Amino acid sequence: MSGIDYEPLSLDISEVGRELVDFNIEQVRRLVDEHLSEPYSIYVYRFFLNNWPNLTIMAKHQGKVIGCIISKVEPHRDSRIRGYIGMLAVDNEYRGQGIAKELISRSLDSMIDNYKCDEIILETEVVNKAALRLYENFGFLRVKRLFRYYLNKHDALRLILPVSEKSTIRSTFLPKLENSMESKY
Amino acid sequence: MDVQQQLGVLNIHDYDDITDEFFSIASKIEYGDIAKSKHFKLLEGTHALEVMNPKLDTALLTPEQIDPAVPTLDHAAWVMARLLGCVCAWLDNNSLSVSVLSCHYVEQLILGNPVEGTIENKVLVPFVKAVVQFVNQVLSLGVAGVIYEEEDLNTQTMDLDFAVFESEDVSQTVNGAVQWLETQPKSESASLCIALLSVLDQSLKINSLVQINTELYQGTPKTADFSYIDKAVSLLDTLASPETAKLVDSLPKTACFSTNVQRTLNNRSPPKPLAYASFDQSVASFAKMFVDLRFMTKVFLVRDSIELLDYLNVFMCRRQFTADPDEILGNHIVVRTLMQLFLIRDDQSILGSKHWNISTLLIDIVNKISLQNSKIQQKLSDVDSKEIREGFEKLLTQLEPAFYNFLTSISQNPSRQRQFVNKELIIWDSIQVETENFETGLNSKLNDVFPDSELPAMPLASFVYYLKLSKMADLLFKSIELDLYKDPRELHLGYWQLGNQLEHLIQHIHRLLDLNRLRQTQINNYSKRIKKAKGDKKNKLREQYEIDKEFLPQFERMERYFEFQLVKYEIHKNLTESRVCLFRLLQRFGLLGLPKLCKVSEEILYNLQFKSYQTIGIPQLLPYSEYQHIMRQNVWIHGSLQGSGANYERVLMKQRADRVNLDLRRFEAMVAKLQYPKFMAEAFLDEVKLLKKANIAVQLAFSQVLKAATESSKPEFKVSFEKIGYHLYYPNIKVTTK
Repeated sequence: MSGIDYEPLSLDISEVGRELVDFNIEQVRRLVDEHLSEPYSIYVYRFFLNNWPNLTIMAKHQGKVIGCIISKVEPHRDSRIRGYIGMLAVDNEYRGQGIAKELISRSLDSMIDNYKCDEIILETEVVNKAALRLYENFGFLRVKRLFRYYLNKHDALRLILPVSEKSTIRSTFLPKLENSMESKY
Repeated sequence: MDVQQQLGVLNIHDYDDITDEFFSIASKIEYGDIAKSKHFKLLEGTHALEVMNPKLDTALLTPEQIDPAVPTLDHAAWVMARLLGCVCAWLDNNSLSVSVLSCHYVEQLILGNPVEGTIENKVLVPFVKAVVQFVNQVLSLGVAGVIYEEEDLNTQTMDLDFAVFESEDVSQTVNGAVQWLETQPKSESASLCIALLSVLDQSLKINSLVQINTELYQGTPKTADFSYIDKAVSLLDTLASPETAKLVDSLPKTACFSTNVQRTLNNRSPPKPLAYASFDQSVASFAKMFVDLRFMTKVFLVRDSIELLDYLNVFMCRRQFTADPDEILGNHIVVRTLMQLFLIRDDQSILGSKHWNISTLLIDIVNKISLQNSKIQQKLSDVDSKEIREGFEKLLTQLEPAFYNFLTSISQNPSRQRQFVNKELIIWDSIQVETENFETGLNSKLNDVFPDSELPAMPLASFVYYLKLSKMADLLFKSIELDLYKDPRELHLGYWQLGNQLEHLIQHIHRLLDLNRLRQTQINNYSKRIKKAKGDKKNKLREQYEIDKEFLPQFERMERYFEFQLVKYEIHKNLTESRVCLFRLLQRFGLLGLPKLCKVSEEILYNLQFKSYQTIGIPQLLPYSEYQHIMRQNVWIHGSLQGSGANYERVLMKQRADRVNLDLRRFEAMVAKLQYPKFMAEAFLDEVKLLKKANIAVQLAFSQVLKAATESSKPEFKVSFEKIGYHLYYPNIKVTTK
């Protein structure tokens, strides 16, 4: 859809001003609260947003945040770099226009190019066929089924997009990461 | 309502308002800073509650006015039916706070508060006490570490102690209530109350199962009385009538269920609406619990360790089919939890047996599969063979965790079962290397070989390899069951690898059969050897013969068992290959391609799909290059067969289907020949029906694709998978033209 701008979240008040930072965070939170079944505490948002602001990518239409994807990157079992897509939401009236697809694509590219992820994972409800189709279209594989994972009692599927060969080897057989980074918050 | 009023409704009078202090402290935090403990990580964050967040703060729930009076039996019956629904909702993975504890009477009785009213005290209190007692029993099972908190059962009690009543008192109170109801004028509500009290009364007997100590393979212990299971099933069958559901619907409601407890008691869960199952769902849930329990008690009917293994596998694969294809449920949660505690006791004994524990059961299975009458086994009782004995014992300590893993996997939910298999696979793989080294080192001394080929018998490694290969195939089967392979490309790969794994397994079972027959021949050859021998040697041989020949019936039984396994796996292999054939036909129409926006190579996807097998040395995972080669060949074959109307493939599919049908008939005959207990035979024959269906379905799909291909030069197909009514491992591959 034309007229949609995609931009990563910035928390730099000297660059965008405190008002816009607050506005963006509030909008992102509104979107997720409105569209995802799981309730998230403020800490969960802040954990993602403050540690990896550039991995929160917003889709804006006329200044309003109408879609967002929230991701993080951390070492997994000290053996590989794992990207994680935590939340994805698009306002109802903007659905079906490829916005979610674009958000995922940008998030994946950022995690692969900037963070050198070995794999990218996420969980989604087994009943959420649209989400499954969306992610699986990028090559995500279902690697595990998680029984009654969500508060609404649905099973979840863990999906992985393998980026490097490390992703295809059990972590016990991998050498330890040399520079293991930890999240700040 | 203002804060004061709300607290008044909830009967809370003792509080301090710290709002001002809180904001004063919070104002010192810089913009953008996060104040948190180092120990507070994302996991804690996802479980944290948040003040003033309507999705997370239960204090924001509007207090509900309750009017718990139960003036008539009609009201009492409604409360009891609803509370039963709350129990089922809890067993269906809801928290106690939104289910059982939402009932005013449950909270009051646990807190020891008096309840007013005649009907309340005569009928409702006994029922509520029984509910509390039942919940307490299940909680004690839930915290025993068999199942997973939240995933299988939520055991958060809001700091309330459910262990407030004595079992005997509860039972007497329930009986007293039934007797009192029988003195009342007959009514549908009174009958319903009696039936519901009785259901709970029978449910309270379930835990007694773990008190039964018995010897394995001796039949149902005479002291065990399972008549309550049949009684409950029959009772629930009556309650399942549409008339009863209609009656429950017509009963007057009582306002004694509310969300208030979520605000007033220690609550670790976010605010949620009340959860309760409908009456027919509740009856179905309790009926399932008792039916599964009945199956559990059939363990007493198995006759040896091999049959026990079969039984445990059947138990593990029991599924509850619902109308929802996305729901994969196993045995009832109470039965799953109970099973492990019932099977393996605290002292590691099996069913409380004095003779059978995890170690002795494992050794018996190893003997039956491959170790019996081997030279290693003979040396174990030899005082001069300390080294062999120690080596064997060391191996056993490694085998036991793998075996224990299997014994505990049977109680898990279907998703966890696969993870347990995955874990077990690594253990078997690592033991295989050690076992082979141990036996190879010994073989020069023991010379336990197949006579014609001089191949070492390797009985221990043969056992380990058998288990490993079975688990390798199991992992693929379970991946298919759990819908991990989402599309024709992945499912094709899954079945292709599975066919290969099954081929290895079949070959190995042939080897086990050869080993079994070798031992039988060795026993039968004793007479020749005794005839030729002289003096002391002759006597020794005679003595040994007397010992070894005792095992002849066991070898014959195991020979039949291996033949049975061979037929079973041949069926699976042929069914698997038929599916591979269908998918390869679909490749011709572009249905095995990668997703459109795929960001990674097919090779890396292939390697991830079979990650569990990457580090396994033997048998090696079929490499991606082989897959590519086969697919290129497939394109060529299709190209060259196009003109011949694919007769070649049609004939191949037909031959394979005929072979499956023949093997299924052999399978049925062998179930009879092995004289399985009736309930096991029935389980096997039920599976045969689904395997037959799978065989027909894949043939049909294949014919449909071929037909469409002849009718149109460029047919477009849509492929979907149907699970309901089909075998767990063979969903129907539905191919339709667009």
